Amino acid sequence: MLQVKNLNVTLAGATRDISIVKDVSFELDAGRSLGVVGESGSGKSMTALALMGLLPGAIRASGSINLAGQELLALSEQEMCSVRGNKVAMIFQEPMTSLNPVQTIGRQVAEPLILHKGMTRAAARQEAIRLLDRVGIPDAARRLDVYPHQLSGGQRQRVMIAIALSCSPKVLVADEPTTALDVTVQRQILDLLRELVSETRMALIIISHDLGVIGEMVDEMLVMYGGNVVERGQADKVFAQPAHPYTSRLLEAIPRFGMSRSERLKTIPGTMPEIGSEMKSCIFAGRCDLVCADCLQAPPPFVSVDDAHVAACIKAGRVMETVQ
Amino acid sequence: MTQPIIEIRDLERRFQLPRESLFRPASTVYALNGINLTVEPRRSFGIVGESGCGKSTLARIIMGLDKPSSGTVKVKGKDITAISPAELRKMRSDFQMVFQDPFGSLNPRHHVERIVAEPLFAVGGTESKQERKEKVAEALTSVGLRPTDMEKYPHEFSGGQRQRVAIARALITRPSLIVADEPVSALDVSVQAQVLNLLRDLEDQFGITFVFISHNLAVVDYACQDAAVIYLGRIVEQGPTSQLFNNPLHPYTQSLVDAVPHVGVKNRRVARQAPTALKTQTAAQTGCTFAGRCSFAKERCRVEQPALRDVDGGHSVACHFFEATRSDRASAQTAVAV
Ligand SMILES: Nc1ncnc2c1ncn2[C@@H]1O[C@H](COP(=O)(O)OP(=O)(O)OP(=O)(O)O)[C@@H](O)[C@H]1O
Ligand SMILES: Nc1ncnc2c1ncn2[C@@H]1O[C@H](COP(=O)(O)OP(=O)(O)O)[C@@H](O)[C@H]1O
Ligand code: SF4
Ligand code: SF4
Ligand SMILES: [Mg+2]
Ligand SMILES: [Mg+2]
Repeated sequence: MLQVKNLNVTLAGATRDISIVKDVSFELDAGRSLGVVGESGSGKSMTALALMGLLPGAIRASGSINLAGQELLALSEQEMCSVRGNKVAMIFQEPMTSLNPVQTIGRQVAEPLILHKGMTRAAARQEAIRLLDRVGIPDAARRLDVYPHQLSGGQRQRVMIAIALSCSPKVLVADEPTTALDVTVQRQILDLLRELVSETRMALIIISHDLGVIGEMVDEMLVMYGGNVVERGQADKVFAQPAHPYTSRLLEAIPRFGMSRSERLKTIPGTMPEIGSEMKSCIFAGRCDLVCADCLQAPPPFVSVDDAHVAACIKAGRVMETVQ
Repeated sequence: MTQPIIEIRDLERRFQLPRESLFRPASTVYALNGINLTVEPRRSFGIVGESGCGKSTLARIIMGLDKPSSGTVKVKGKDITAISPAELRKMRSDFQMVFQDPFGSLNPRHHVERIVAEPLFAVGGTESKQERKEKVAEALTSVGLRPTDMEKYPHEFSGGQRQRVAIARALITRPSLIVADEPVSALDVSVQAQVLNLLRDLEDQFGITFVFISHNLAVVDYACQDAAVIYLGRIVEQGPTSQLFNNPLHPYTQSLVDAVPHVGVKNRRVARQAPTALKTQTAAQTGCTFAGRCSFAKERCRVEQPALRDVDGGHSVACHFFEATRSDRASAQTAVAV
């Protein structure tokens, strides 16, 4: 249903263009979920904003984003606006900044229904109650008239989800939806998103730097590093047998429950190359303990290790063997 | 018996909220309620709980940055609530604090030398400029930065490096205690691992004891030997982390442990529905504070406040029916496993 091919996100600079996201490709069917992981600055949010047609300033997307037969990158801003109201929706990390602080939540949920679905004010109000009730706002009918600051962080995120659902989107993009929340509230929001996916058959793209969240939520995943996808595959396979050294190191860096205190956490020495740096070698070469002369010749192509499981590494799939 | 590094008895902290109207009594927030805890030297102590439960308030009181409404707080045997500001300043060199936000807690207009040396001025140090420089260089080296980094400004560092600068600042007075409020929460996993390893090294090298505040249970489990779980200003469970998180006895601790997302536990139905978001407690309460969210609550829970009592060699819990919750959890887990 959603096909993204060679999506590039570029910042037009004074002297040269800076490439922020390079050649991202994936497919996603209705009722399925895709996770995007990577450290901060790796291009996760830029990829999400490109899908939504919401890139800021002088940043442009190229390539192809095909949603149910429609090429989104070919649309005018006005046409894209209607797609955003009807087919794709997004929720952000900090709901407070994306909700309007001086408007009641009832109005904010009803607005898109009137605008995009042509509902009457009264019908939109009824539907708003149903949606708020569905996302677990207690006593929804009476809460239509409260303002965002009167709700807890978790409740605000629920309101954002209700607004996103109001247009029955085909794709919901959630950028770090639970990063600002406590574990127990995070759990409720994740459960809610999962229920909504199976109920409405929408596709879910969830972005997080928390591998635990991705690991239990999604069917497929992308691992991003320095603006590139370095690994793509079915989530349980990527977690069970990471094919790219970066993914593998990332998984080893997480403290696990019950881990012995005498065990040291594995780290990845060095830092991610600055975004937009021209790469003549593998982008991970500077930090990779498997690096060899071949890695420095050219950026490695995707190597397939299993059904639809690929990694941009010349030693893909041999990561585990080589380490052992 | 060695002297505990921190000893807190019957600590309370109440905040008065502004009156909503002249005719209504002012309401009170009970941020901390009857806290008792002991931190032994060289046994790092974790404090976990949801947002607003009182973690930062407790940290500020331990640091002498806030005063309790009642109770005693002894640091290395001295009641810091009863000593003069001058005496407190002198003690300061022995305990330091690291804050959550590596961006907000470093003054962007000061270079790293000035930032890291700041606690030396605060305790009224008498070293010469040259000696100060040497100490800064040493502190930077011990957190894995270069002495030449002292000429840089905070914006020239990555998030993890800034957190290292903040730790270097805490180290410079060679404290025996560092209170760290969410020191790794803003960091990516790979950077988080570096900082956690660093804290571990400092513990081994300099014998520093950490009080480590975090909402991430796996991080506390890894970084600390002992921990306390706080709910609405009260400790509901406390003990060695190995017991606390492997065998949680309080229904609240159990829901926290169950709520942690795990890699590879896809589509897991959580045995127990996670309780709803937390309100602050604005009235003195009879009965168990957790009763409203607890699926085990019985009549007794609403009338009698459960006391924190030791149930298993240093593992203590404040719940009337912890034995019932334990067996219920055991059977729920076997049910999930099949
Ligand atoms: N100066 C103050 N005046 C009034 N209430 C306060 C004050 N400081 C803290 N509180 C209240 O005391 C309670 C505990 O706050 P505290 O900052 O210790 O929470 P916390 O556990 O650190 O939360 P977080 O995880 O969000 O940092 C909260 O209900 C808070 O609103
Ligand atoms: N408005 C902007 N203008 C220019 N560069 C930006 C802008 N927003 C983000 N970037 C850069 O794009 C890269 C990817 O950012 P982002 O997608 O936000 O990362 P993350 O993976 O943390 O979500 C980063 O190097 C960031 O500095
Ligand atoms: S291509 Fe070479 S440097 Fe790059 S990740 Fe693979 S082994 Fe490491
Ligand atoms: S004392 Fe009662 S209400 Fe409180 S946690 Fe135990 S069972 Fe639940
Ligand atoms: Mg982002
Ligand atoms: Mg706090």
